[in-house]
Amino acid sequence: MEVMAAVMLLAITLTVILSLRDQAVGRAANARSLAVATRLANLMMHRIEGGLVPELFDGLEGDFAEEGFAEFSFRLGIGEGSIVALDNVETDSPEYAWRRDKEEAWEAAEGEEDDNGVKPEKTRVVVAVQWPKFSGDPQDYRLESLIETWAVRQDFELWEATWGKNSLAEVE
Amino acid sequence: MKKSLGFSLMEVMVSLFISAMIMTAVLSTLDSTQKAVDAIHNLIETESSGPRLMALLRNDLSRIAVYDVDAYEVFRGTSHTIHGADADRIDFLAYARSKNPHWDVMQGAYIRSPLVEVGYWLRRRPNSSDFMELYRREDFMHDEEPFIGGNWGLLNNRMINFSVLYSSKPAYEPSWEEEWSSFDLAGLPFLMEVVMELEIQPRKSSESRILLGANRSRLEFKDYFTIPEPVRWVFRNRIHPTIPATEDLDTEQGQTGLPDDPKREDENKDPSGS
Repeated sequence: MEVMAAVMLLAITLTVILSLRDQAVGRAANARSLAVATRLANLMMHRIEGGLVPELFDGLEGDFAEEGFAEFSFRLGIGEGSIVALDNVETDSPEYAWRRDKEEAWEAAEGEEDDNGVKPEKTRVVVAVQWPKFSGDPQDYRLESLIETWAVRQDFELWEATWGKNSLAEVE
Repeated sequence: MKKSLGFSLMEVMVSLFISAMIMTAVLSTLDSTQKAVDAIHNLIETESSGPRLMALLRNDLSRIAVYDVDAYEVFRGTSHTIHGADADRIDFLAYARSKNPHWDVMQGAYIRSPLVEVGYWLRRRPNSSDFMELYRREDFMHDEEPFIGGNWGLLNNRMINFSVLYSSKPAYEPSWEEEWSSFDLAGLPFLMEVVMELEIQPRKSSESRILLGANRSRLEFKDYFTIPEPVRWVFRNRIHPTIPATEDLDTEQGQTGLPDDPKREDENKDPSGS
């Protein structure tokens, strides 16, 4: 009986140790995935800042296969009240009201563009990166930033008009 | 009847069997734990070295010093190769607190500078033709030779490739230059593409092989760096601070446009307020 009890205790101990080990590996994998997703989201944001991403639109989807991470996918949100920005936001929450308000102001500024030739200087961009969790549902990381409108739209004429050839003498 | 003092053969056999079972279980647990440690090491290692170097470079570039510079000698990127691999160099001035303190003879103390010459250089790793060493150069303040001299700090000794390309303006398909001189071009690059390839030392284990390629030994990191347009504008137009000469302030011309002295206004007012 004593031997049986000792063996049972040992079996329980080993089972606990193994499950802790699996948890540690799983958490390390998720931590690394989060670090990779953060880096990829920043890379996407830097590419947009450089005007390198063509034909951006709200809800654009893709993956990072070129960077060697095909299992990481992204969704882009353009504008204050973009589809991606409003994901998981309750319609009766203050954040939803704030985003809708900003969106309306942004759209109003866009509408004035033809009359005054003035476009909103900055455009809100949301990058949501998703990856398969080591176990369980996919996880995601969201990065939000304000980027020069000319870069988001690849409006190089706007860039030229703003920064292209101006000099101190011309400004004065 | 004489009492037996030892164990029977059966008892010894059973105890040996139980011991063997316990030893097998403990050893397999230790082995799998060691593999888990290796896997976690690989997971952490693959996302630490490259991003850390990129972050350091981005931090330095975000502080590029262009205001009130005497000449256009502020930024220089040159193309180099070592054993056929890209080993490009970047040098620039930065408003960054120097990481290496400087011994000031007058004060008799170590001091740090708010302005430094920064450079990222590579050289062949001694006793190895496969790898290069990446160094960060830092020279105290700003001297007549901003692109040489200073102290060297080793950042990585397993670099395989370090490439920097420059673009002068945004475009659908930017034209990339391999070199950039702010003196020759009288301007700063609009965009830089930095690609670094380095090797880490993964510990091979079956666990890390299945975790999102975490056991890859050669990793490539790419990032884009833009220099803000206002910074480029200030540099292009060589903005300098100007302070009016004190003798001009006393003249009528020197007072033009200045607000009236509030004290004088108070003196002219009737104290009774009527």
